[in-house]
Amino acid sequence: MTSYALSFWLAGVALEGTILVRALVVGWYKKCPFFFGYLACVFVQDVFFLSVYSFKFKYYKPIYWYAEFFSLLMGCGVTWEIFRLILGRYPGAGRMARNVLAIVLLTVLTKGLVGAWNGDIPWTVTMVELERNLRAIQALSLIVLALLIAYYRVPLGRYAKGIYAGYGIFIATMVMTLTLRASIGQAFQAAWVFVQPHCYAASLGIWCVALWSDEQSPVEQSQSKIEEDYQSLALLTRRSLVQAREFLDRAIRP
Amino acid sequence: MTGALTLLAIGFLLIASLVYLLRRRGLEEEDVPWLRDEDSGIPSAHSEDHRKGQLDRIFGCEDWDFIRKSTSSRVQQLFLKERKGIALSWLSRLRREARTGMRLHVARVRASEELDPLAELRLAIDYYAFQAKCGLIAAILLLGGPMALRNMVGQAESLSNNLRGMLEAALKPDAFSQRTRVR
Repeated sequence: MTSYALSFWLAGVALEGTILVRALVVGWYKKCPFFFGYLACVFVQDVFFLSVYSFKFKYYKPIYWYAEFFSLLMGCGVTWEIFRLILGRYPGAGRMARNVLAIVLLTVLTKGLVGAWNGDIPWTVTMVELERNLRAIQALSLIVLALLIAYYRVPLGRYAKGIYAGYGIFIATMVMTLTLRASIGQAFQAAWVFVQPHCYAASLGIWCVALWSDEQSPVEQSQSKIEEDYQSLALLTRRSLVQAREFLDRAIRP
Repeated sequence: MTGALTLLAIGFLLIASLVYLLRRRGLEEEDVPWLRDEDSGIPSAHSEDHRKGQLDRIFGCEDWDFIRKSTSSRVQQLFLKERKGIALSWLSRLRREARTGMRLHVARVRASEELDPLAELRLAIDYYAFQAKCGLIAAILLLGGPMALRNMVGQAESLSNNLRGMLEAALKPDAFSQRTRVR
C-alpha cells in the first residue's frame, strides 16, 4: 500500500471518529440509532483492519469479505432508517413506498429466479457479484424513495438529507465499481482500489457537514383542518383535472 | 453485458436523483397552504360559462374573419401575434391551475392513512397526460397560432374519418366485389 493510500485510510478513520464524537456531543445518535450503530461498526472495523493489515497481513483478505457482508447487513438497517426519517411523518407516502418496493423486489426476484431456471444466471456467484446485487437492491429502494420525495414534495430535514445523500452516493458508486470489477475483472482492480476510498471519503465528508450541529426540530404542521377523507380529496382532484381537460378539448374543437 | 449496463444505469440514476433532490431549493420551507376549495382551481358554474365564452373568442374564427376581410395585412399580422400571445397565456394558466390542484392534492394526501396507491397512480397518469397534451397544443400554437389549431384538428379528424371509411370499405369484401361487378 502506498503512503498516499495509507494516509487516506487514516484520514477516513479520523473522520469517522469525528462524526461519532459529534454524535455524542450533539446527541443525534438518539434520532438516528441505526446510522450511529453502522458508523460505529465501520469505525471499529477500520481500526481492526488497520492493525491486521499492519501486523498480520495474511489474514486481511479473508476477514475483509466477512466484514464487508456485516457492513452490508448494517447498511440495510441504514436504508430502513432513511425511509423512517423521511417518510415517518407521512404514512400515506410511506404506504406508497412499501407497495412500490414490494413490486420492485418481486420483479427483481422473479427475474433472478427465471434467469436461474433457464440457466442464464449461475446459482454460485462470486462474492463481488453477490455484494453488487444486494447493493443494487438497496440502490433501487433509494431511487424509489427519491421518486416519492419528488412527487409528494416531502420536506427533508438536515439530518435526513445528509444521511440520504452520503449513503446514496456511497451505494451508487459501490454498485458501479462492483459492476465494473465483476465485468472487467482484475484489470479494474487498480482503479477500484483508487476510486472506492475516494467515494467513501466523499460520503464521510457529507455526513460530517450535515451532522455537525444540532438540527432544529421540524415544526409540526398545524392540522387546522380536521383529517380529511382521502376518497373525497381524490375525487375533487380528479374532477378538477377532468374539467381542465374539457377546457382543453374545447379549445381544440368548437 | 445487458445486466452490467442495467446496474450501471441504476447507479447513475441514483446519483442523478440525489443531485436533483439536493438542488431543489426552498422546499423545506415551502409547503402548500390549506387552500379553500374555491382557490383549488375549480371554477364556479358562473365563471365556467364566462371562461367558455372567452375560450370560443380566443380560438374561434369570427374575429379573424372580420379582420381578414376589412383590414390591412399589417393589422392582420398584429392581430395574429396578439391572439397567439393570449392563447399561450390562457394555456399556461390552465396548466398552472392543474399543477396547483395536484400540489394541493399531494400535500393533503401524503399523510393520509387511507391513501390508495391505484387511485394515486391513475391520477398521476391523468395529470401527466394532460400536461403532455398541453405541451403539444403549445407547440402547435407557437408554430401556427390559435386559428391554425382548430383547422389542423379539423383536417386531422377528416383525414382519420377518410382513413376509417377506407378501412371499413377494405374490410367488406362483399361490398367491394359488388361495386366492381356493377362497373
